[in-house]
Amino acid sequence: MTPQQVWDGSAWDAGVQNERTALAWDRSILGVAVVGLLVSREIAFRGAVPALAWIAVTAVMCVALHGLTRRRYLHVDSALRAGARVSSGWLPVFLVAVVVAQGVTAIVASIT
Amino acid sequence: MQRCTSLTTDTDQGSSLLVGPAPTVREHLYVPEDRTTDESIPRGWGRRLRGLGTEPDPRFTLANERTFLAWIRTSLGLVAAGVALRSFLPADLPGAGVRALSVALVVLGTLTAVVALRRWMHVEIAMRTEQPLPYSFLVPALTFFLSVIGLVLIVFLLRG
Repeated sequence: MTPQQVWDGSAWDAGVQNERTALAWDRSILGVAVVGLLVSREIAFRGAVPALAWIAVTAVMCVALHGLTRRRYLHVDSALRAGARVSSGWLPVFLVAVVVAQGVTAIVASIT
Repeated sequence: MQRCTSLTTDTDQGSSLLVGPAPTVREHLYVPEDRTTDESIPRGWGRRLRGLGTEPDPRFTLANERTFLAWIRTSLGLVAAGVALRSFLPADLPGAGVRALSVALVVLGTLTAVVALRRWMHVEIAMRTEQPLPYSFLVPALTFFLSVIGLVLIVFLLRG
């Protein structure tokens, strides 16, 4: 049995960094979901179908983001347990693209 | 793993990277036109970012990511405020003014997300190349624009 398999009562991930980062991602994804619903409410003044379509698009974005962040959490977890370094991933670029999509849609719905 | 200290600085001057101006995305991740066929440069800026300098302590990488996420939530809050502004303000306020404020908040939120990504990359480059963290204009800029939007909203509410 390796030392890592014996729990000594302390967190092996000092400061529980990975857990806190995963929770920060979850809060951000929840924020995207709320903004998506607000934007779809704005779209709903032009018709129910586009509003429902935007809700569906937002849901797909949120599920995809959650899946990717879950995968990153597990990747970072195994890297930290192995004592390896953690590379910065692509997720921030994807998240910003999602936020920009919500913002641009809100502007278009607002001025048209 | 292939490492490159900088695309535009000679690698034999590596120690000089400890001092100097704040790192820029252009300096470290863009490939100059005369080196686009250089096979020693990793393809794609994501690979170039990962190959830059040395991997920092995981705690710093994750802390940088959480700071970026905090900015993203701020930007989402601004977009939400912009959308909600038109829904929850009294109907007797000037429509064009409220619409302009609403759009301004959404634009500000969208720009905040883009600038937050740029800041995340700058900090990542600075940590990898062991340079001082760059100064961010995001905080004073956001404070200024939010103050202006808040003041205009107060005027609307008082006159409405």
